[in-house]
Amino acid sequence: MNQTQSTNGPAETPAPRGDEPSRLDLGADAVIGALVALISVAAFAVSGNYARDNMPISPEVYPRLLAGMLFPLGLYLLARSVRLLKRTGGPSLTRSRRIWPVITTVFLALVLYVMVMAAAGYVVSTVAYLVFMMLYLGERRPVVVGIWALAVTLALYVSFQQILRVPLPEGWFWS
Amino acid sequence: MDAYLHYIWIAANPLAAGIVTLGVALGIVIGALPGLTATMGVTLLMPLAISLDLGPHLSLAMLIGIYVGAIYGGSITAVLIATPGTPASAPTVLDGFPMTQRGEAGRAIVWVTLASFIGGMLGALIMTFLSPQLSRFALRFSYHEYFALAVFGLSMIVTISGRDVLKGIISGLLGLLLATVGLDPVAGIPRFCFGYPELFSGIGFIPVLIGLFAFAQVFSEIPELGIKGFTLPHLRFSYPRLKELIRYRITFLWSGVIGTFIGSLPGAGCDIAAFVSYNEAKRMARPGDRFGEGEPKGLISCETGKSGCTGGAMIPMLTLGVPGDAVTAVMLNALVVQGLQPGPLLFRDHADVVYPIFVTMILANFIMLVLGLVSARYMSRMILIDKRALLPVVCVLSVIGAYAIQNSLFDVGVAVAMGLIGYGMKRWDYPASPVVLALILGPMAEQNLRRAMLMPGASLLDFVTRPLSAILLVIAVSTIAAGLWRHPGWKREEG
Repeated sequence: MNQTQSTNGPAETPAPRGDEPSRLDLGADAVIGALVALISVAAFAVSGNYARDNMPISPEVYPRLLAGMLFPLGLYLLARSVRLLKRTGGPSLTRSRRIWPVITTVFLALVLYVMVMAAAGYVVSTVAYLVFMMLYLGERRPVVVGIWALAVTLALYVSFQQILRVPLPEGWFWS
Repeated sequence: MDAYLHYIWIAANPLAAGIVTLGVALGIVIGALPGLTATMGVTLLMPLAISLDLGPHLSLAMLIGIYVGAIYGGSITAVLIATPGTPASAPTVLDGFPMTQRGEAGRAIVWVTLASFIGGMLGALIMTFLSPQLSRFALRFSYHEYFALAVFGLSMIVTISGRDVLKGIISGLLGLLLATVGLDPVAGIPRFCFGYPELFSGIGFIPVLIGLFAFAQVFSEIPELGIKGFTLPHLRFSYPRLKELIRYRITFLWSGVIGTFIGSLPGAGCDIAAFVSYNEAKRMARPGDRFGEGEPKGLISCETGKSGCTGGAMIPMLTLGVPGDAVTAVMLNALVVQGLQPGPLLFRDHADVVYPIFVTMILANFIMLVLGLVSARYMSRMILIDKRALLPVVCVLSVIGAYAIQNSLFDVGVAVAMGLIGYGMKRWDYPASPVVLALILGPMAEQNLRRAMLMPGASLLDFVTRPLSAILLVIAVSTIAAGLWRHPGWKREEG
């Protein structure tokens, strides 16, 4: 398996990225700033439930202090990003358009893998996950995919379950 | 004397030496694989080290081996294909790759190995002699001083925030907030648990780390797959003569000391040590030194600096319970999971664990030197491993690593969720190190602040009237002020 081959999968050459933030980066910063401010408001409000009178520093004080510091910083990040967005021309968003479907697929595959592992057990879910991921990432040799997926799964199973005595999820396949 | 011989035997008996060797070998492989970092390696293999049930010293010995090996291994790909295996090896590319282009790849690898060894030994020796003194001094610490120490550690967030300090501070504060999830450390009241009993013990440190460093790295690597092919350069080793080693003695010594010092600062990792050491060597360059064009001095400075950092980072972790970097944060957690609390009492109560660690550090560096010189030729072939096969395996290992800590799929869910968050942080330049620092130091700050206030007649003024606490708080405030003053992050809109 040599890296010199070109892939047929989702990978594409990314556009060169300079130091200047793109409009998408600034937009993301604005959203993150707003989220941070919201999280801090929620944390401040929820912390009120932890108040106790019988101690010098009640359990709600520390999280409220943190939320109090986060709120203005979130707003500042939001304001800074909006101000920069107004001034910045529009570099291409193509790189992100290419990346996000790939990241979403990889993330969802991982979530599905963990969920299936709970039901079907480690061996079945891991073989299926490795086969899917290698095919998705562009490996087109079925024998290589099959052998690699089986070998890795069994090697890890023997290492953790048999040697290290870490009980991996067994699911319906083994039970 | 007998006690010291006993500690040496604990650290260097055949089983311990074998485990360190295995750790160093694994570390070199992990470091040599571009995209796999030392933090990721130590985080992923920590559950394995603990599962082996060999006791605190041997599990830590394995992690130390991985740490030392990975920090070194990252430079192999930096020299050969201009792709740093770990972030700490980024400055190695500057002079290492030009040497490869000149056909001196073998010589560059030898310099890298020797410099890593000398830096690592300097760091280990400084750690060996400084740690016991520091731990004796730290025995005077009370809640106030520990609170001030935690604040000092947290103040380093400003320094390690990268190019946008605002984002670093936000990351750190979010980490601190995340650390409050679970039972409150003094009153035992569940905070932010929303009825989920899994959250009572807090958000697991290792699942968060696996998410931030392993999954996030995989997500970042996948879109870059297949960008370029690698051609392995021919390696012909040539060893430097003693005269050459003596010529560069100041660079070795100075960079090693800088690296160790930076390593000992909470949160400042080997990447910062490598860059600062390189810059310092460049600043002190003599006429005729051609930095950036394959100058051995450039290669030596960053390698010695980053390896010196490994010993330096262990100092605050062992003596004060404050991690020097993300890797030592994992090691600290490994000790805690096994019932040991790093800090001055560790030296008093568990000398049989802590003193052998010094010997292990020295041993790991010797093993790294031998393995490095013997195996560099083969390790360099790691760059040919196809990431389409490797990255899914890293994902599976990460899932098992997160699961193995408590046999909990909830922890795996936390790791996966943190992976997506970590990818977003990477993508939009929100540093992950402040989160790690906050997860360790946040509970320490809150717990000691509140316990100090429970003492009879306690007042907040005590924190500034007790000399040690006051000094630490002044240093913390100065660090924050200096960081904000010189950092361009706040002025980004002007740029």
